Amino acid sequence: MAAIIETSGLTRSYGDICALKPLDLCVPEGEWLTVMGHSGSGKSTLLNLLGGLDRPTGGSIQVRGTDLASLSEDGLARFRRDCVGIIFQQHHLIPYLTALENVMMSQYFHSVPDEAEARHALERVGLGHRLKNRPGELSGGEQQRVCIARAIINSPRLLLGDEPTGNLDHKSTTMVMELLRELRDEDRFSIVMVTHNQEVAAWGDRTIHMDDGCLVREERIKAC
Amino acid sequence: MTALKVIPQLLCWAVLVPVMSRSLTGMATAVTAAAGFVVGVAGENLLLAYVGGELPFRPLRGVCGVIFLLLWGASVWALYRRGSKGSDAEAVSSPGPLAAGLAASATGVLAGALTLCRLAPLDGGAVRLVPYLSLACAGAVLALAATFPARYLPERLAPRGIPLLALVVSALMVMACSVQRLDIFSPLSMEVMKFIHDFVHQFFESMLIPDHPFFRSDVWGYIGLLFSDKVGLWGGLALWYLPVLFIALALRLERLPSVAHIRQGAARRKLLASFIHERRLRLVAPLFALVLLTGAAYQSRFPATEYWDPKPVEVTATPAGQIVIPKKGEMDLEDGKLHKFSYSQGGRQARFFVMLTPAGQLVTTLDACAICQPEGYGQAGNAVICYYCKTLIPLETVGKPGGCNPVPVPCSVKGDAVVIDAMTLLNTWESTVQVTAHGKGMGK
Amino acid sequence: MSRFASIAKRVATSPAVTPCVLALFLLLYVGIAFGSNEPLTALMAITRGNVALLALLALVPLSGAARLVAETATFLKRRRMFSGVAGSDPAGLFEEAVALPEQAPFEGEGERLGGQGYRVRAGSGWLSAGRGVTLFPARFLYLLGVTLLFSGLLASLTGRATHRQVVLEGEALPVSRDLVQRIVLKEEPGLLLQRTLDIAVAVEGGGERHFGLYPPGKHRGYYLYPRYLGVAPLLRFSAPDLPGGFEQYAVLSIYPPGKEDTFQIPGSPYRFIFQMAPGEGPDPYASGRITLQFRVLKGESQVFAGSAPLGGETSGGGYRVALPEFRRVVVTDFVQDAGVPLIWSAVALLLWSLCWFVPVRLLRPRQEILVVRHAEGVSAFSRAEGGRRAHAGRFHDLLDQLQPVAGGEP
Repeated sequence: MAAIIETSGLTRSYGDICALKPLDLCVPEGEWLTVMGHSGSGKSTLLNLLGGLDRPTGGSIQVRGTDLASLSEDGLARFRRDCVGIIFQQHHLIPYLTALENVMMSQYFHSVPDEAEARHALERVGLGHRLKNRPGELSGGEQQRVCIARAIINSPRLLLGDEPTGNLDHKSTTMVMELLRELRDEDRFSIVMVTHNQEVAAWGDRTIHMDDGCLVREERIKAC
Repeated sequence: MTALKVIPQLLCWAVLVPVMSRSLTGMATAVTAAAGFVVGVAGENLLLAYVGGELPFRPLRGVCGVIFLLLWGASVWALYRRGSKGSDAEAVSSPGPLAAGLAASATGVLAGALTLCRLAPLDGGAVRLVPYLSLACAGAVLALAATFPARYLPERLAPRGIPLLALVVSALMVMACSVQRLDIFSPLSMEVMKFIHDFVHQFFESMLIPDHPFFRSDVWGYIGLLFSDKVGLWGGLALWYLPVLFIALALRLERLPSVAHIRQGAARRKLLASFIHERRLRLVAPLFALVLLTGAAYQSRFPATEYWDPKPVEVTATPAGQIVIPKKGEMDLEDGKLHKFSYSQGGRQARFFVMLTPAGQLVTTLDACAICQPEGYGQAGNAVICYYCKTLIPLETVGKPGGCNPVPVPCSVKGDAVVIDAMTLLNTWESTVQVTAHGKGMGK
Repeated sequence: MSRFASIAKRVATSPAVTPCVLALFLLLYVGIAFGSNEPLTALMAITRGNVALLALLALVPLSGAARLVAETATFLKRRRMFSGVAGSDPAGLFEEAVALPEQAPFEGEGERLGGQGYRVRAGSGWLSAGRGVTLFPARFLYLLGVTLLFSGLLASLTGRATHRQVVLEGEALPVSRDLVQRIVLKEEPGLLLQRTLDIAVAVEGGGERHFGLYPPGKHRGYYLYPRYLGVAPLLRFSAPDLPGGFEQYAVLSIYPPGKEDTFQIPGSPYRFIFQMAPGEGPDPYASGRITLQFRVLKGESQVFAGSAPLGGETSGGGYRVALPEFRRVVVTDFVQDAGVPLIWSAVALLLWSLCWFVPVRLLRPRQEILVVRHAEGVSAFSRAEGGRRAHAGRFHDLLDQLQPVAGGEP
């Protein structure tokens, strides 16, 4: 299967501190990869590099054949807009916009807003009845589902999750994970998800463990 | 000073050539345009030197009028195409090398000729050698150098087809309108004024609408706006801008492509967004053309030339009702300049001027014509100019009736004085000027 | 349909005809403007006398009528399709058409479209959903208005006949024995007009008719178009060299006050220049309290001047001017013009069209979706007269429901 992500000697340093030591990684199309590790192990650094939010200080990183290191700032913005969807632990929803408007905001920066499609995306994540509610009026699990709708609305080929269930209780976590699996099965995008939670990792196809900026262990959970 | 005169034209040229070479065939376009410019400068100077008079200007003005009409036609066509077909913006194919070469050379010739006219002496004759050669070189160098900035002009910003035509015509209009004899904006305003007067009159007649004595004065006040002195200017501006606005509107009205066959929302939206973005970029050329046309209208409205325009001298009539002005008194009536006078009697007033024509005849005319608002005349070189419509009247024709010529008043030369009948003067003023000030046929 | 008929139909219904004809007249106007100070009048005169130009102008109403018929037929055809009548070819009736697989289950989508504000109708193998009000009536009125307008212009240009006549109290209207009984001008400010004019006429066969300012009344096929007002005083004049005197009604077009008119005493060198004194208070013509100012010229020199109220007299220097009585006068154009009612109707239709178009286009434009099952599969059609983007979103949403995509790039 073709690789959606390929890194070779990927490095990120902040001055003298090396947050990510040379990393060779390959993620095939459609795979759900979980990244685990302690705080400061380089998980989020890796995720930021994969999402085009940061630039490597060494090595190469290719997502769908595009060398991210060679892209200009505009090119990176276009890459984030067209290829990647990101789900954050803190949701980062705009508090004074409704759920529907939050999703449409993502369409707006990508291309043109389409209310029917945004509504449909929220229906897909089970929030068809909460369109007009603001984030403050939604539970943590619902907010995260709005985030997922926002992340998938532009049909990305790669979905990045930075501890998306970190703030959720067990029931909501299961619900979000089920939803992600369902969407992944329908839309066939790849997922790279950072988590501390062993239970969450079990939803993925493969898990890599990181420590001190290095990939220390890899385990395959399901055949891809 | 001479160099300063042509800076706006050369600036336009410096903008036009990179855009044309990017939109047409690159370096070849720039070279052809440069050659055309040199030919235009040389040809126009030859005409100025060997033909003289109005002949070197009239055909150029005619060509400017024709290309402006062409722009009108193209803009209506563009709008019509959008209105009737809509959908799926058809790609405008680049013209072939021959057509591109023809367009570039024609633009160059016209630009060169128009720019040279800016340097033409007011009293006739050719442009002197140094400014003439400098202009030809400057135009050619600018055109050739244009290939460098052209490389940095984004492909998506390079206009094609009708928007390119709008840009070229607008730039040429700036060049034309900075030369009094080539200006077409002022005559356009004049024609608009005539049309509105005629149209309102005909409309009232056709629709059997009663005349002003029966109307409420406030209502008639609004109708009277159509006869105000600014109606020509505003109407002219509307006609001036409309073609480019039509082109912009046609681009804006381009229907979005059909995306119903695409079964993924994000892909549909991306296609639409890309189309909308492209459409916005295509609007840059007509909007820039709008700026150029504004510059052209400004130059036409506020020409840089200074005119000889003396303050009218008050004169009185003899008991026999004759106005007698000595030929050589405080002023010399035979010095070839216009001399303005004003005469008042019992609340009636008339303004007139006396001047010696090149044929050696002393003529007296009203300081007004039979068409325009009576804003008067000034003199520049071998012509007088109507301040209202900016029409240049050659001195040879002053004293003859018709068009925008100052209205002649009978006078006689008796000994060392010019004699004018005061009553005839006042009657002539009232019968012509009051009609132009209040609208033909409507102020009965 | 033969090839020729098809081409003729295409040309007749082409929206290019009107702009092309008008562009040609514009070019003519520009050409005439070079040599005339009144180019519009000149253009009208040239057109009136030129059969080719008249024929060209006639293309505009003809094209308007052809488009009216064609667009009405299209509208009716679309309505029939929308009502589920099979057999119509949808080509050109809708803006978007999409082919869907045969098994697309559209029958169940009616409820969802209904929830989005569409009025849904469904039958065996078809589903139509529409919302908003159609703009077709505005279009119909517009085309009809344009057709009438240009027909009116054409009729007016070719058939207008105008005769200027004086309508005088106590005299019959031209070519009739209908007697003008009185002419009354009143200060009655209306929406547009300041005054009203009433010309009361006793009709020959009995009864009374009234003619006013606007809209002008019609008398024996001619519109009475009042142009100027005036008075006809009975002028009695004697001068030292005209001891026998002179007496005659002098018809003077001297309204409004200040306007001058001349009257030549027949067979004498005397000429009067009259004007109406402005006076104070109400309009002198309306009140009837009119004072005439006059100058008497003998040849080119003024021999006497003065003023006299109507009903009074004045004298001096051997000259005597008496104005014992007067009649009111309306200088009237008798206009025969079949185009005028057409143009009036056109203006009304165009206004009506605008009144329909603006609110409907802004508030409730028509949006339609039609899904039809046929032998080859299922076809979905859509069109919108306004709010295209939102409607397209809903249409695409419907299509996504009918033919869901299984992920991946398009």
